[in-house]
Amino acid sequence: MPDRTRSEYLAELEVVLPFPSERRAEIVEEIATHLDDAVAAGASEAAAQRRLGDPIQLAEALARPEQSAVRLLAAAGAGVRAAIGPWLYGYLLASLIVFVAFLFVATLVTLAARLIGSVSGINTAGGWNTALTAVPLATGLYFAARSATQAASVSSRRLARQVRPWVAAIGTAGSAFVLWFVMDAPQNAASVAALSATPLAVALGAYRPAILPRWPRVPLVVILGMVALIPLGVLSYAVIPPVVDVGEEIPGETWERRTAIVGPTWASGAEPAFASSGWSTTEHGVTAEWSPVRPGLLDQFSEVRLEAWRAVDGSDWRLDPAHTAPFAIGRVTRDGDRLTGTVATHRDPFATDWELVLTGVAADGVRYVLDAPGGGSGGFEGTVSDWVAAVLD
Amino acid sequence: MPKLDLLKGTLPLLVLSVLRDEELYGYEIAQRIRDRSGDLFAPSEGSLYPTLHRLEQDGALVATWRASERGPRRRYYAITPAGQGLFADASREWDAVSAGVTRMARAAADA
Repeated sequence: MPDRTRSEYLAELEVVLPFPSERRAEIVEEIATHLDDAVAAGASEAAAQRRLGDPIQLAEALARPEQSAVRLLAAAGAGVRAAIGPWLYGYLLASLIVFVAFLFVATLVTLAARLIGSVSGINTAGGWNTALTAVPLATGLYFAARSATQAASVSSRRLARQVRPWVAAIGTAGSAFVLWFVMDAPQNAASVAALSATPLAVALGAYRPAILPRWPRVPLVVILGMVALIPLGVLSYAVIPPVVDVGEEIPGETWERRTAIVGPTWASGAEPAFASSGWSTTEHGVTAEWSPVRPGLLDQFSEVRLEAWRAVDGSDWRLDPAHTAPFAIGRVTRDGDRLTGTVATHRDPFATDWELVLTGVAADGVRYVLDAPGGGSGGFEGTVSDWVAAVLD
Repeated sequence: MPKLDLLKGTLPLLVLSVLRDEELYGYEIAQRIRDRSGDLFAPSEGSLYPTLHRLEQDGALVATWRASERGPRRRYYAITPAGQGLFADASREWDAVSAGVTRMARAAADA
């Protein structure tokens, strides 16, 4: 048993005793008077402590009579209950820190961009925003795990070191399940990496006392904070769009030229063969409706479908020339002379800007462009597991 | 002191025996056991306090904080009626065990 001072022995005992605070203080007081009595009777400090035994073993022996299966069940409830408040606290605190750090970095980036005469800013669209959200989520989980460990330890009357592996394993698995399979959000590689790492915050929170010794905590937190700012800096570069040569935009450019990559248009030089009545975004993707410009036109086409093509800028109808096939194809249903189509524009991890194209196969066997109602922006949306499956597909 | 671990499990009996006459605090209980047994039994305090707390949990003892004659307040333990009953049962059990072990040891020695 290592040599400890009286106060060190009592402090260690107080930390490991799995009892409510009032009772913990009473036990420590009782043991303190015992040590004093033993020393007053002539024993050395070390001998008095040796007779009491190691503080951890003493704490375990004191708690053992109160351990039971019922208490284990109660500990699960106590752990969950104790985790809610600290999770919220950590989440809000980290949200505030991220917000302030974000403003700071945004200011720096803007100033730097002005100095070098570049147009730049911080991109928080889509998955980048989700990646930033992972920081408050992880911080909340960290605080939640710390509190859950303490509460479960006291409630089960088991030492924190016995409870930690359970909190870490169950908490990490539970939060990983939610973050991987349940949380539906805009995703990109950064958000997937951030959300995958987030559950580890539970293990860190549960093991914190053992992982971080006392003296380097403050500098370590500062270092971690600086490391956390690096992704923000990276984000600032993420906005610089890839340079794609799509040629000069021609004033009055016809829509046939713009859809040339897709295929020939049905109504050459004139208006499209089908008129769309606008489109809307739903959880399934983009839904649009069409009517043919003249009756009976619809009967001339088969295999009518709605295609989503990658674009350089979803608001400017500039298709990405690097791609010669649509990244998503949606079914079109016919109701009389009316068509309704839906295409999932948010399920491709590599498509952020897109244009919609309605196509159909004519009697000559050629697939024609029937209409190109417009486009938009927005990356992949779904769970982490969806994103990984889409990337692997 | 006994070389073999024959007294394991008898600490509750020893504790109850010294508390039958008066209320004592932890250190005094350990001293009283040592004194009464003529230094034969010297329970480790690491076992004593868990035993006291278990007996209290079982309702055999009741503890109260009180100022002592010397020094700070102390936690005094007193035996309860349930503790008296437990002591009586444990004593009978010990007598039976002790008698049995004695007979066995003598028979082995006579053989």
